Amino acid sequence: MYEHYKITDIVDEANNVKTFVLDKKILAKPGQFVMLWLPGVSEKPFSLSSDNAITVKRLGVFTERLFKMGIGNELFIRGPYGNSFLDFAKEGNKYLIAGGTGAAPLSFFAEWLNENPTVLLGARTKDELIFERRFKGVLASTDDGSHGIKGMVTDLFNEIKIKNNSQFFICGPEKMMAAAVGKALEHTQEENIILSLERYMKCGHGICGNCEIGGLRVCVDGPVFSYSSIKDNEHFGKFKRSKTGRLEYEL
Amino acid sequence: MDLSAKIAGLCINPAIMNASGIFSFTSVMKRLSGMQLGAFITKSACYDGKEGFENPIFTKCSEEAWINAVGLPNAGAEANRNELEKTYPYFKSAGKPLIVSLFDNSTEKLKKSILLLNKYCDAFELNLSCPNLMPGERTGIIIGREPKLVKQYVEAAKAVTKKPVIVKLSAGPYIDDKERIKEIALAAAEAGADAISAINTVAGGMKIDIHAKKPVLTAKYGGLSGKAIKPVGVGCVYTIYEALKEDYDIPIIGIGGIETAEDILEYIEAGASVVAIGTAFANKSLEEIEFYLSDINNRLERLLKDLDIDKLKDLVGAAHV
Repeated sequence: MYEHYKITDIVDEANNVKTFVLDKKILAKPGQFVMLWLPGVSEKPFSLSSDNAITVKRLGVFTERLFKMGIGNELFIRGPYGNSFLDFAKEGNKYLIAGGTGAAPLSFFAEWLNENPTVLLGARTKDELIFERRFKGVLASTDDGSHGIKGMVTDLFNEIKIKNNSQFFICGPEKMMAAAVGKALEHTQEENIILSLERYMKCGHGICGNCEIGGLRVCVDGPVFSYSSIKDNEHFGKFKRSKTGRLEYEL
Repeated sequence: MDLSAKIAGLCINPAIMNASGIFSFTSVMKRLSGMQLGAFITKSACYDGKEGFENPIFTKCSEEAWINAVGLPNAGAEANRNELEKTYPYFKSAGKPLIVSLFDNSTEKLKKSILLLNKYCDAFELNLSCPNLMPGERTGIIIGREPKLVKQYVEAAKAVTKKPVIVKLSAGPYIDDKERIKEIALAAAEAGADAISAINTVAGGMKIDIHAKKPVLTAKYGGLSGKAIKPVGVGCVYTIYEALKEDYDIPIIGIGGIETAEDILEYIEAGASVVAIGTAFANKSLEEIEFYLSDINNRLERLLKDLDIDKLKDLVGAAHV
């Protein structure tokens, strides 16, 4: 059952990335997601970038249609669903590590934190880097060196003195997350590495199973997981299910 | 306390399983295999695979009523085999029967699927009752509402496997005319079905979003599930039990709106030997599912104790006198 919202603002964040600001707040915690229904098109999950906003990258038919919407248009949203970064956060030093639009849920998380975490932000190019000004204490990297250091977000680990036993909150493409986990493990324990995962989602209620990753349903068992619960996961970094449920080796 | 049941030689302990389409994949069910469920069933698949409907495929209509039209998406028999090959041994060693649900638009393709998957499961369920078909699709309820077609499909399946063949029926014909479901159940029994599952979701549900002014489901219509359909499920199981009890010793798997231990007993007394839970699993994490199942099993044992009964199977069909 959907709540209907009006778009009050649309912010160009980067090349092909927009933030859609809603007229009402969603009672959600950072890391949770909502299901956005575009009648006649489809329905997709989006994590919140604030309690009244989603930040979306243009990827396919659905986001194409969303990008055509303007201020005043209506959006149909159900949720929020899933768990939150807050379920894992504890006292102490924190690093937020984002690849591309992975910065969206992490920026919502940063709003909730009393202290300013160190943020490592990576993107392919300067045009795709988002939210650099939303965070304080940001280090940026781009694949082509057009902004920040040239390289991957994991290369930023070498640019700073990492405090041991910190918590690492990671969100981005799964290959990038897997690499960041490797780096983080040099400085902390498995349970201190927290990831937000994504899969092709259908029901959003834990019923259909399509968003499962090695048996964990992203919609109800996640989307936030500690690395200790997925280190032995046979799908992580390797397999995802397509719309038909076929296991595909490609991430 | 004995909460087990036997279906064509398979021991299901406790006599509670998931309904087909719930959790869908053995990778998820593996995580549940240590919990208090006695058997598992996969999502219905066909030989060639199928795309299914676009989202939204599932929506809540009220606290007790949900509708879905997923459209039987599946990656086809070969992809199914590749997964089952890896996961079936796990269920085998856990002592939890794994049932593979199949549908198709020809008996030939159904047979091909069975032959491909025969080594990797303990039983087959033929989904002859899915109400959410694409235009022109000749599967599911199109087959399950015709006794002659039911017989053909069951005979085809029995011809190529020695594994138990369960037939899942719809409440549709029963709602129309109780005699009709009796004919269908008897047709399945005559053809050699080892068990009957009933009911599937109840066809024809619609949820309209009043602001969008559109049906929510992409398929517009969906099968109704949740507590709202329990009275229909109980009545349908009661009727099938009545039809079969004279001439056949075929167990029934009761499905439809089961949430509590009381719901389970109601189905058992109506004539079910095993029950399957579907929508009641909604919004539950793995931990919550484990807690829920343990709670339901404990409550079931207490109910039986109050009734002064120590075997669940002694209550099967108790409402028929």
